[in-house]
Amino acid sequence: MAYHPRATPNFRNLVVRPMWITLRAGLRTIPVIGPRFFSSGYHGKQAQMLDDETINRIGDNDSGDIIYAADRETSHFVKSISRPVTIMYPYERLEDLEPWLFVPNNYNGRIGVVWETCTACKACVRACPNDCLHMESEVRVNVLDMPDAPEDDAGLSSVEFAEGGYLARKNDDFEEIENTFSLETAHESAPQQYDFAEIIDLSGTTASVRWTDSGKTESVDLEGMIPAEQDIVSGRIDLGRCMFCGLCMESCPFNSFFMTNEYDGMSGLTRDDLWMDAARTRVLPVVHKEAVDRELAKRADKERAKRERAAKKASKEA
Amino acid sequence: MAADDWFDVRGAVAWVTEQTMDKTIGMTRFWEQKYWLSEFSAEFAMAGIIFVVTMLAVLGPVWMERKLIARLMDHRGSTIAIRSLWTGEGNIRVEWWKDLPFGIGVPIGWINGFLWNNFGNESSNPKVTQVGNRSYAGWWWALPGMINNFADFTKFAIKEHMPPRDADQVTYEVAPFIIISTTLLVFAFIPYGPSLYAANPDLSLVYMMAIFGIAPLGVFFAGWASNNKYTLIGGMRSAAQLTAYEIPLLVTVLGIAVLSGTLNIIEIAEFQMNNTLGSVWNIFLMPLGAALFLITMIAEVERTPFDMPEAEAELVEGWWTEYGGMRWGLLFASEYLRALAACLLFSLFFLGGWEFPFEDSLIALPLVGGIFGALFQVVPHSAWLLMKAWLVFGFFIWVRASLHRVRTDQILEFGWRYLLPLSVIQLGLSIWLRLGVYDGGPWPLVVPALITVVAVVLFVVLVLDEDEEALAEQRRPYHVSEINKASPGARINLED
Amino acid sequence: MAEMWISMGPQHPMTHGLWTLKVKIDGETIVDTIPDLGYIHRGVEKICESRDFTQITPYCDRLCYASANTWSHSYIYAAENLLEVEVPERAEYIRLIAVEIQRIASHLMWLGAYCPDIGNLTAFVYCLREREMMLDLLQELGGSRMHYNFPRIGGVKRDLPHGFAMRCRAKVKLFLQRIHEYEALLDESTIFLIRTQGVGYAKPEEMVNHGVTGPNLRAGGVNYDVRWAHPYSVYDELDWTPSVERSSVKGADCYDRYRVRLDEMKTSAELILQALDGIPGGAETFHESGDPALIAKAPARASDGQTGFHHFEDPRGESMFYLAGGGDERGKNPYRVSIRSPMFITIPYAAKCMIGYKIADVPAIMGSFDPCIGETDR
Repeated sequence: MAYHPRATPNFRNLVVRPMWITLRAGLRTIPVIGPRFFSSGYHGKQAQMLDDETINRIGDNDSGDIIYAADRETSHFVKSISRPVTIMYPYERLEDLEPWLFVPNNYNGRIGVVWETCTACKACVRACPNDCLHMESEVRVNVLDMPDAPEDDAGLSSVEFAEGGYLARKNDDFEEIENTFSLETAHESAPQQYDFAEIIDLSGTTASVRWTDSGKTESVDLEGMIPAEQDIVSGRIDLGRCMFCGLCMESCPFNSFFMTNEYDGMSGLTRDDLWMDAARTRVLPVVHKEAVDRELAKRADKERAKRERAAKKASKEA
Repeated sequence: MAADDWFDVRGAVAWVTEQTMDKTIGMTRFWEQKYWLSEFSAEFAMAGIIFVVTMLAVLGPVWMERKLIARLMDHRGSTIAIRSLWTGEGNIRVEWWKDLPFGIGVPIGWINGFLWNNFGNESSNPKVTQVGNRSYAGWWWALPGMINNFADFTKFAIKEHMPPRDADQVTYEVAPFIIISTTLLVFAFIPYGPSLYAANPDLSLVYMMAIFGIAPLGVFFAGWASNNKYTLIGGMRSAAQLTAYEIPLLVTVLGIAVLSGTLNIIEIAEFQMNNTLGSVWNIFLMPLGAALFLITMIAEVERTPFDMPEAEAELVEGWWTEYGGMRWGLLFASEYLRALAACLLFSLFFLGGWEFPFEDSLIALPLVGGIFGALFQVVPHSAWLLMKAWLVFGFFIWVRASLHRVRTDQILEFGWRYLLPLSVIQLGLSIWLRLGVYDGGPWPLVVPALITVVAVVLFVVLVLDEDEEALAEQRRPYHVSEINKASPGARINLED
Repeated sequence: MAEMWISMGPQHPMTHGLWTLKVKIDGETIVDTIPDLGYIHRGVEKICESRDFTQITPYCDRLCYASANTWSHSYIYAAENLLEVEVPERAEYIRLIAVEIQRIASHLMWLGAYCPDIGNLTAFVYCLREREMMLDLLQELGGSRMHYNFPRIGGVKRDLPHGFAMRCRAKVKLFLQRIHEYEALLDESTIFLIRTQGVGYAKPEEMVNHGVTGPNLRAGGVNYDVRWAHPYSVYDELDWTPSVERSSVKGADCYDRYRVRLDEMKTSAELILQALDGIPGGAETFHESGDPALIAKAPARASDGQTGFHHFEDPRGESMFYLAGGGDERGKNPYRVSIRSPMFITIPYAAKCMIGYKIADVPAIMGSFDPCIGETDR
């Protein structure tokens, strides 16, 4: 690999070449004669930048006037005489002018969660390298399993006893709490009516469990126990710590965690302002409709399969 | 003879002061003092006028630098502000023409509409249409971007003055004073027009060059006094560089003086304009001198490629580093003032001063000569001088955008080994031209034509000349540091 | 004038990163140098000991932030060596494209910072304008302009987006034409030549002894490019040659290092075009993330005693990762992540290269070695 063929320090290279190049660059910016006489042959040549998929995504609202060149500086965003190549944020946004750069799910923007499909499995919390996701969840009895649920609807929740899952037992004070607790006078939060335990081992009709209150491990009979699940209370992400790596998005098994196209709205005056809770990370399901629909289809299929199995079992037993 | 302005500034000022003194002091018992008082106040007033003119004139280079550099570097950036006249700002388009009385605004509205339709923001993409252009800080009718400079000035004026604790306080304060005052003093001798000058002694050229050369002293003071190793190095470099380039500059200027036969700047300018004297622009008589003058002046004002003393990459700001607030502002201003002075001097010495090109021939034209004559009477000649100076400054900017920074020892080598001999050769040529060729009247056309042709031919030959052998061997340039021991742990022998 | 020490840094426009270079000068001549590193030591190696193998990747992006993709890929190859994973070929091609685009962007950043140090501000704008094109391509691929977290153990994060091949070809071809403009502005400028030629000689024998690698070494005539000598990924399937400057008696000067990098940019551009043409399955087909064509199943744990190693051609030299498994009792974390940063080895050598030259040569010489302190300090 050789030197440049004209690389010697001589008079011509002192005066002519570098000054000619900058002069030509300057003359190229003159509106009419510049591109005609001083063009470099590749400057501002039109290039195909929009692909079909992007056109489908953004619809026909795309800018028919924009003449794209391979580099942004010579793209003509507006057909007119020399216009600043700066994108005039906030009046213009790059995703409107170059939509292929901001494909949803491809761009590492602000975090967004479709809370409707989130199941609080905490996979994202575990995946984050920086410990920025905090999820508060608690063990609860599903509403369809509650002891005072109506007869027809009782027991139709999809929560079952499973290893690693939870079960609940009515408290000794269950009736008493129901009857006597009054929020106005107690000046404290309503007490739990169940004791919760984590199921370690499941075999037939008994299970060995660890009670969450006392930490004791015990073997109990499943009769009279109610299956319980972990449900989300609140989730927050600390954007001050987040490095936008996207690992959380990939770890969500339920297609609920996304990185949106947003690069705004992540500012605050204090560090606490950067804690994005559910309200600030909410993403309308319609925005990520495909992913949400996929997830719904998956769950609906699972539910349908389960019901089929249950129906078959019922008909077999009958 | 280049036409004089119809308005004689000096005469007017002198008349005004005379009248004033007559009516005031002349009526008292000290009436004998009115003579020197009126002269004194006339000179004082002229100095003030020149100061104001200079300050206004320096806004030109400052604005040009901002705009032109962007274009040369192939990004258009802040150059487009004029467009916001019809596209509006920030999504607001004010139809200002409607406020003009008597319906004068209506045609303006048509023009505006035409511009909007053809060169506006309209696009089928509504998001693009709603753009508001980056607002420009200028008067809407002129020099967009200019208010930024006033904002800068204000910023300089209100920033804190923080001398380093261990700096030599007296020298630290004196240094910027020397620099800026000598720079302004230079403008006392630069004539803006036939009657627009502050002082015109017989040896104004000598005085001016002498004062121009005091600034390195101030730079040296500034560099040393700041108690900062970087500024010390910067100051040393600067002093060395400026001194080194003073010599070829002075020799070149001597060549000009010899050629024009006078040491007075106005007479040098007149020599090029006056039909009975020389009436050929000196650039065609001494092109080598013009090139030398330009190069040495770029080095004198410390612009790239000779801005090693302020090289940001190594020295942050060089000898300016420790100065804040208005002191820095004045040093910054002095850089542009010196550049303006250099450009004005170039225009005066080589580009025919305040004469419009071919002014005499234009006036002498058969039919339209009268129009030109009137035009050149009405438009003050200072305008032409300023435009030439600004054009030369544009050349400075062009050079700055294109060339790298030369290393200090290379700069010095270039100055002493190349420019000095060339300037002496130029002096010899000027002497020969003046004594051997000049015969008292206007130069015969063949002389400048021949010289120019020779210069162009030489230039072309030098440009096209490639040392094929050196290229093939890829021989290194002469000023390579011959280091035999570029290896870790080895010490170089400083006694060599 | 007596000799004095000047401290260039830690806050200094020249230093391309956060470090101090103490220079002892006698007048304008440099007599001695002491580099001072460690200002942005972030303890990456230690942090990685408490992270999953997947979670380490974004940290490696941030080692050298100017060329993030090369560092995360460097780690990923070592992790795949540790966990014994076969990578599908399409993924290797995609990785190559990402790495080479990043290499071009890194060299452009270098050139864009080098020229203003020497005084030419115009080249700064030119180089960053091209770098914008590369950064746009990387934004499409990886999701952001600087830290992409693109490779995964066993493959890549996702496939080439729709239309990427079309845009990539257009931009790379434009870039290949624009390089001529840089060359004309720089190579044909006397002042650039007199600032860089004959300055900062570095002898190849000494460089080899010191462990300097990459473009700095190839500028001295030593034909060592890790992609060529120990091919990984699909470099041996593509048609290219490493850029080696012819060797000269005195060694490599700044101009040689500049030429090597310029040539490398051209080579990278051609590699990208070849890869786009030769990618299995075609560049226009699109697979969903997680498709086996893009990523292979990889074990997540490495037990005590397993080790993985890989050396990789970073734009600045040869980077190596050494991973030892068995960090926690389940083996999800590594026991040790050892990173060999090429710049950490080169900077002390480069500092000694400056002795004998002038202060004004410090940015020229130091810049020509392309220091990136992020990877130096880790």
